[in-house]
Amino acid sequence: MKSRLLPVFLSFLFLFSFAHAQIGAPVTTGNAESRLVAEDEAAVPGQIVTVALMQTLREGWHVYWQNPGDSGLPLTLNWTLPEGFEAVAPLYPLPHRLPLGPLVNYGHEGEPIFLIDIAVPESAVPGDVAELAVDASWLICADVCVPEDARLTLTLPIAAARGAGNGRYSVEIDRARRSQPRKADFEAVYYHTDRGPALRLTGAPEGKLEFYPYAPSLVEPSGATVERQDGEDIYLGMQAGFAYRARQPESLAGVLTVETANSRRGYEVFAPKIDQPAGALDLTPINTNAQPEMPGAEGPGLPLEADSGSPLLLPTLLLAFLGGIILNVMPCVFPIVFLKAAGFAAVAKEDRQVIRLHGILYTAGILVAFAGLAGLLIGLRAGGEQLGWGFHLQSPIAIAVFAIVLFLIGLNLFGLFEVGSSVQGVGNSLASKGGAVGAFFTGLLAVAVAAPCIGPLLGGAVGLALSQSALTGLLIFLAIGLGLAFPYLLLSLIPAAASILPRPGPWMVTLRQLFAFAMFATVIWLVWVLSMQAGPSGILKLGLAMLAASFGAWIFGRVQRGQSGLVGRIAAAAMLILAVIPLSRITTAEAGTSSLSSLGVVETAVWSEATLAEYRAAGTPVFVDFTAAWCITCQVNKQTVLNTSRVKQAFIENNVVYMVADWTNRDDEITAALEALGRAGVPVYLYYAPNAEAPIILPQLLSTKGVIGVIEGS
Amino acid sequence: MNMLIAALAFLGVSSTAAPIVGSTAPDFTGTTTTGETISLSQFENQKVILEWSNHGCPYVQKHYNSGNMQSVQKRTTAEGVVWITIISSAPGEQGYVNAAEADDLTHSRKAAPTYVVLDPEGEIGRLYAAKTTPHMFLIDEDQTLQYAGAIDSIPTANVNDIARAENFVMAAFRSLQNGQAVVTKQSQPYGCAVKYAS
Repeated sequence: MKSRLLPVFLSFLFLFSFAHAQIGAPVTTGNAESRLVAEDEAAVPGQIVTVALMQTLREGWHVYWQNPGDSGLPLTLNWTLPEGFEAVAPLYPLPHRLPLGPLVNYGHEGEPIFLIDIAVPESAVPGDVAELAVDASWLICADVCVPEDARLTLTLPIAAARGAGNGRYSVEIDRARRSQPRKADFEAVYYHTDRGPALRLTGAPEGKLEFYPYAPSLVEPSGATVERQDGEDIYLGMQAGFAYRARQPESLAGVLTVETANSRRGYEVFAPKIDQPAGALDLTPINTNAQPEMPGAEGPGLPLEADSGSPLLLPTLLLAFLGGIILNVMPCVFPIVFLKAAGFAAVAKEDRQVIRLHGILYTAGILVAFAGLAGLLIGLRAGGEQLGWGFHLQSPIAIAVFAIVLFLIGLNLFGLFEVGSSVQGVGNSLASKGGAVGAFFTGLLAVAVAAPCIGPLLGGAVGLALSQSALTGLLIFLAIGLGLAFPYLLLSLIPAAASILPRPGPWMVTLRQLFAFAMFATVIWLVWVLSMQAGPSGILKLGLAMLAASFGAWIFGRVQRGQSGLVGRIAAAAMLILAVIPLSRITTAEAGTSSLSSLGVVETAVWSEATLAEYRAAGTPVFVDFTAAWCITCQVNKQTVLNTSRVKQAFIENNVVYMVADWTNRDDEITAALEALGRAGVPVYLYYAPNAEAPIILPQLLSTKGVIGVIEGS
Repeated sequence: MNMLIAALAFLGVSSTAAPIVGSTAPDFTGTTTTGETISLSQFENQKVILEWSNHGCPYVQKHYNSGNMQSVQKRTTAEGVVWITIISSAPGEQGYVNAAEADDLTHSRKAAPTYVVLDPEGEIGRLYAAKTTPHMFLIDEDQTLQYAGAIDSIPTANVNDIARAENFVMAAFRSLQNGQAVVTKQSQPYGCAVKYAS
């Protein structure tokens, strides 16, 4: 038996290891996770194989660009490669300015990808494996700095020819390559001014410009860059660093980034030195008091609504309110509607005062949740975070917590335990103090879970809310909340309304138990979302937390029925605490290709501004799907419209590329693109007809006819 | 937008008027850990070395744990240099210490500065555009700035690199002692950003 199993086991191991050969094991240092991956499945003798050092940095921490700016250090790589292999210097992602007090650094946050080309010698033998290893060290800083290092390895099979398959991370590597600075297609020169070097760019793309010199100390990173425009020419006056003062270089080399409302691109600039041109604009920084004419200082385009002047507040609030009412029939509010209905059924026999109190408390819960969520969002955005509506569902822990809460509510509806202090029958307990708390809590939960639905219905209003002042934004959100609560508030305040409710009776218990299944259905959805965010290990942890929580709830129920005493209470509390442990360990898994990102036979691409621009330049029609796993409306559209054979047929016949922008996990580029559209959440569907200037924005609830009509109408 | 650029311009002007090597070093007045008030101008006719420090920074630790910084302090002060260690960390930031803690650090690290100046407001730091810890400045008898930049030529946190590195401060000091011009007058400082109040 043993002798037969072993070879099977070994070959299984072998298959497993080969399938992942081009992915190095991740190494976790204190503030970063790093791994080495190859673009291709195998290295080919005489060719170049691109290897990526992918890092996931701790939130709020950064590493440095090749010129780190005022402080900091760039990445250093010491390779240990097989005979004849050669690695070139890494290509850095586009740098960002990272101010720290009066200092400015150039660096990267989030998930930087460094690309390294490795030349494979002719002498490499197909069939062998190449062991690549690198001693990488980097400085990672938040407000404090920690030097970190790791030895990263990668085993790469050598093959005679490039296989048909791509490496596991080829999409990410491809995206990193596309976002590398491209050759400047405009003229750039530099000349000396008293303050330092000044760039003159002729025909540069429009947008917010930033120049990052390759060499340190040529330009003071914290010095002001004065931008002036004169017809086609844009001037950037910079403050000299000590290396520039010591010797003015023959050419000023670096990366020029151009940021527009929805993209950020880099251009390699090699600006040769010229004499100061006649009639050059004055580039001395202006004083705070003086406000001279600055034709070149226009900012990037504002979101759509804001462009046409601030709309009147009152109609916007009314619209938000109506939207809030309609929200009640959106798919993801359904579980809450069930919960609310259960609550209403329970208090149906109570006197009007209790009913009214519950209506008001439910409204209060909704408003508090909206104010809290909106306040947090507005505050974080003011702090520079790239977040959109529904951002809390981008956290796998939040998803897991919602799953547990809804699971417990389901158990509660089944009668496993009661909310409140005593069990005197279903109706009484819900109408008691616990019922009042329950009403408020239901309001809170309604907003938290309904958030992804708010995006689709009220995309414009939410986008507007976020582009306005904090107070206006808050008012708009509160108007939505009031709308969401309105039907129940009305029902609880109008005496006649309560009388239409049927008389209470045993049917209520049955109804309550049936509603529990609505909760479990929601849990299934949340588990599915989590599986995409946190992978199998996340599901395992959620399962363990559910086990502990339900066990705790069961003991708690026994305590309530008087079947166990103090020990039971302690045990119940302990189980709930135990449930928190696996929950807190859930982490975002590395982005994989989720089931979101394809329509099967239709040509599919991962969204990026650069990729989109390339397709559009080639005259290819593109359908862009801004989606997220936690967005139920997105899934409904996907299943009922996009994934139908008629729509797919239309895509194929018209050569439309289906491009997916997956917002399940946090993605600043997508957030920025949504913002540029004046939206703060998903879904958003765009169709770019060949050579059209602007996209057609499709409605958020798609119809097969509508999609086909838009595609074929072009 | 105009306002923003104006604000940026103002920030730029106010924060990066870096002293220029070869010119007169900007005079400053500061309070030492013993409560004494000292000014750069009172040390005319002496060489002065300014060292920006933050004991929590791994790059400062590299040069103190190895004894390198203490060694440079002892060798230069023995030849008459006034060594001023300046701590510009703002209260609540890494490296911020009160006078007693600063003296404890000097004692426990067996450091040999002439003075330790506390600069929690960051005034002296901004005056010199001190960017990193460590960041070194060498000023000659005529109060001319002769060197500004890193302590040495290998910008890592690895103690083993100290032996292989060229110590720019010692090299500049030796050149001046021998009546020669400083070869490397300025270098890119390396280390942690100075923890100014933001």
